[in-house]
Amino acid sequence: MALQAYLQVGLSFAEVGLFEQNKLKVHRRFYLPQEPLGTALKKFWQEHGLPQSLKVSSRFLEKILDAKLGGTVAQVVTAGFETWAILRQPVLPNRFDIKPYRQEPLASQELIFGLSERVDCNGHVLKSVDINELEFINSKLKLMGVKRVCVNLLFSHKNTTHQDQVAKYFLEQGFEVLAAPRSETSMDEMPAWRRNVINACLSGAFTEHIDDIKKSWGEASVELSFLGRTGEDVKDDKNHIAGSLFSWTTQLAHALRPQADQVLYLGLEKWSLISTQHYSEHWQSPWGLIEGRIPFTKQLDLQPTQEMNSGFWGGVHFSPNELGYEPGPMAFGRALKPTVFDVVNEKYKAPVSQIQPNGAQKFRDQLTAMIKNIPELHGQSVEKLVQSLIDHMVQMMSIECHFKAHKDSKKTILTGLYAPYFYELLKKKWLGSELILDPSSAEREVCSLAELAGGTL
Amino acid sequence: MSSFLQVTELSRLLTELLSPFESAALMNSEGQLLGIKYETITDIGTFGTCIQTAKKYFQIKEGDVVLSNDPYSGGTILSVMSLVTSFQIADQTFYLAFRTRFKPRMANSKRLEDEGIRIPPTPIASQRKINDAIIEAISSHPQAPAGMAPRFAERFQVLWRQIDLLKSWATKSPGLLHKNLQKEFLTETQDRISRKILDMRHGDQRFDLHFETGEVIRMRTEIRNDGIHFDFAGSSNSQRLFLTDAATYGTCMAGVLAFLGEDFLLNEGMYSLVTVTTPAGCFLNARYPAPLFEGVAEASSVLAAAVVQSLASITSSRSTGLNGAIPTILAYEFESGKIYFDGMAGGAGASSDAAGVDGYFLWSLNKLQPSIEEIERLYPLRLLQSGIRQASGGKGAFAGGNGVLRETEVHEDCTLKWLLGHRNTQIKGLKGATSGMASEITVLKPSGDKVSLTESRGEMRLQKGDRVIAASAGGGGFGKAAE
Repeated sequence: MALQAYLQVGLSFAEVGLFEQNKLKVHRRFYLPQEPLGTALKKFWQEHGLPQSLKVSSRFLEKILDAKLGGTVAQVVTAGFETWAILRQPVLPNRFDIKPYRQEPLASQELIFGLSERVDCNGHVLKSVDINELEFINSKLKLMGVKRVCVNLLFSHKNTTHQDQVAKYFLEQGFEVLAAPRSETSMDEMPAWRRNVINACLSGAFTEHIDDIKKSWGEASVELSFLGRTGEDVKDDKNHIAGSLFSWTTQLAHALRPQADQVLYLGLEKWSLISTQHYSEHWQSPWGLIEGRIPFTKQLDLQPTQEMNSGFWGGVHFSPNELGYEPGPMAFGRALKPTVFDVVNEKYKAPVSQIQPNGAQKFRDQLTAMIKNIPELHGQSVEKLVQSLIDHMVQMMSIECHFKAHKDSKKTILTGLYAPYFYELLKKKWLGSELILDPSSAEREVCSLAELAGGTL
Repeated sequence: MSSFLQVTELSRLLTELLSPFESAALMNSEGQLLGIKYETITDIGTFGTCIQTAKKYFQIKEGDVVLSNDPYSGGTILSVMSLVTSFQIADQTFYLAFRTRFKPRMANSKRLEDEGIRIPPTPIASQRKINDAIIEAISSHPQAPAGMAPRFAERFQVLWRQIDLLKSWATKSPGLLHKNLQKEFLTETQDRISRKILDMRHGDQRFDLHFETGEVIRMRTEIRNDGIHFDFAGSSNSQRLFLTDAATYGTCMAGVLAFLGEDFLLNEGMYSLVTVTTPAGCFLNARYPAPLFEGVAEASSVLAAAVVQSLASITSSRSTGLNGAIPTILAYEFESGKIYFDGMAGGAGASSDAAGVDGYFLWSLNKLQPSIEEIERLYPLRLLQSGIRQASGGKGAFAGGNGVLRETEVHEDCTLKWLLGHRNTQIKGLKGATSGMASEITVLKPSGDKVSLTESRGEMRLQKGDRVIAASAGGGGFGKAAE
């Protein structure tokens, strides 16, 4: 019997589901720092059989963005605007501060080349591309060992001639070229330019990521689809890499649309409020807005790996600093800083196999020390403090969702690994729309993929 | 539940309430500002007066809205509209004020009225219904900003939604808006900032600041157990720049907030810890009908930087360069009535351990840079270059931020008005670093003739085909560069 597999890859965890006749046969979660994806998949196929097809949704490459490992990426821009992208980079922090700083760009500023071409806002060519200029840039790029070139020209969506011409030229010269088509209604060049740069920076890692997955079945034949922002297979088109980071929101929205107009997703790695009905034309990145239509998504201010430390108001708070799962929360046994995950695990014993008994004990010891050292916590028991913090999380999430929900929202579905723990508590606080629990919360990621492909549990 | 968690939750609730507005404030029934979301430094000192003035003249019932832009009634500059409404939760009356910004009119003005229409507190909505006749009457004034009616309609939808969301929350969870928790929230803010100030080195310092326009600020800063105090006795009267006392207060507070570097929702609890004395007659305590646009654009950013400098000097910490944040502002007024307003940030000054940021408005949280494509779509002009003005920041161990360089070709005859921050004086480098470059504007005629605009403000006619090359100032460096 033919098997279909669906794989959802996050930053530190991956989940795979194997389906037979559209029924889930086996579901497994991998912890990637301990078990690299390729190795884990290979073992999984050996145990359960190779699928005929594999659909992948991955935001694994966000890691590359976080680490700013862009590689050698050049940009060819309309002359006169070589440093424009830098001025459009966000400045932090978002308050008055005597030492503000501009977000570091992904790609090197030394590799931005001006091209004296110009198209106006109606698409008329004011100055044609000069082939001599292209040849000059080409020779410099080759000298510098550049492999990837982004073509970022003004008004390229009003008249694609120059973009196509420049892209074709550099393609013929052996470069990998990133020049994604722009939306006709686009009003701002920068989200489109940033998309090209992100695609270019992720390109090498994208190929490696796909190769890693392919190697897990060796010489065998498996039909692989790597899902983009709208669910299409994008493995052969690098102009869609950035969009593929959001395929998970599309899947959730698509799979849960029949049940609710809004999804409160409390997954293992990310907590978000996602509309199943409304879309935004851009997504917010640390480098500013990026062009790409995705379901309207608000990342909650409370996230599962946020650090717990002393806050402005005294006592403890959950700081915006996300620690991630490497080395993991204290409960995993190696980390030293308490997180939201640890608090939830202390109360509910999260179903994650990486939890170590000594890690959970370390967290309790840490809470005991906090109770002793922080005046606002004096006299509390560990149990009481944990309960207060859980209630606090619920209150903070409820306030945020209450204000950030779409104004027309009538029904919200709660899903993700943490959903069952928070459902009853959230229900008491929930306002405005009806809140229901997704019966498939724990396997939601893989179920969404399967449902997208017409399968069921 | 522990009270620090409830205080955090109240802070969150207020932050969410104010978040969709560019700047906004909520006042409780005791007349205390529970939360202020600010976008510019002048927002900080003016919201309290804005609400109190509206309350003084009108009994604002739930669903009523009072509009004003009068800087002498709690506004900032005439292009910024302040709107105040009220609502009831149980036995408490709250006042919510928010602001929406239109394009300012640049005028070499002697009177406030030259800068636009002055709207005293005026009721413009009742029972959540906009009085179209009043809006129409205001909009028909030749100096009224374009697009007021649709903007208000859109913003009011947001306003009513936010109020309804807060009320529905309060119905289900009344605890967070209980008067005792509000009191605790304000007291906690005061206590926590007070402790920060107690931990600082105490002392005082005098600081003189001379403007190109001739004004002199004489500022005495004192850090004491009971707070931070600024006294401007001895500051000059105005030659050209004016700030209201509320704007001066907000500017000093902004400098203090930047220096403290704490991330919290600003509220009344903080206000008692910062006092500002501005003598009558001094340009930092302007009286009607003094114009304010230039003072807000220029004096407030210099003053805020001076506040940071003086605090750094007293506490011997966190030194920062005087930033080049006085923007270079250009307005292209076309005969069709279209105005392209181009604010070009200067480079920020370097600090003792970091380089200054290129082209950055240090004292505004509105970080939106216009899109080239949008500008060209909306106005009869073409941008030929826009980017960093290379090597314009001061050199040093840490370099000052570079200014911005922009070249604009106009495609219809128009009037160019300009305001050049740092035309004749550079932003000084500190501790052995060099200064940033001064700002400059050159007009290039199609014939090849060049006109260098030497005045720090002025206006001239431009013909179709003229090009304007404008460069904002670079920030000063910090520390001597290594050999």
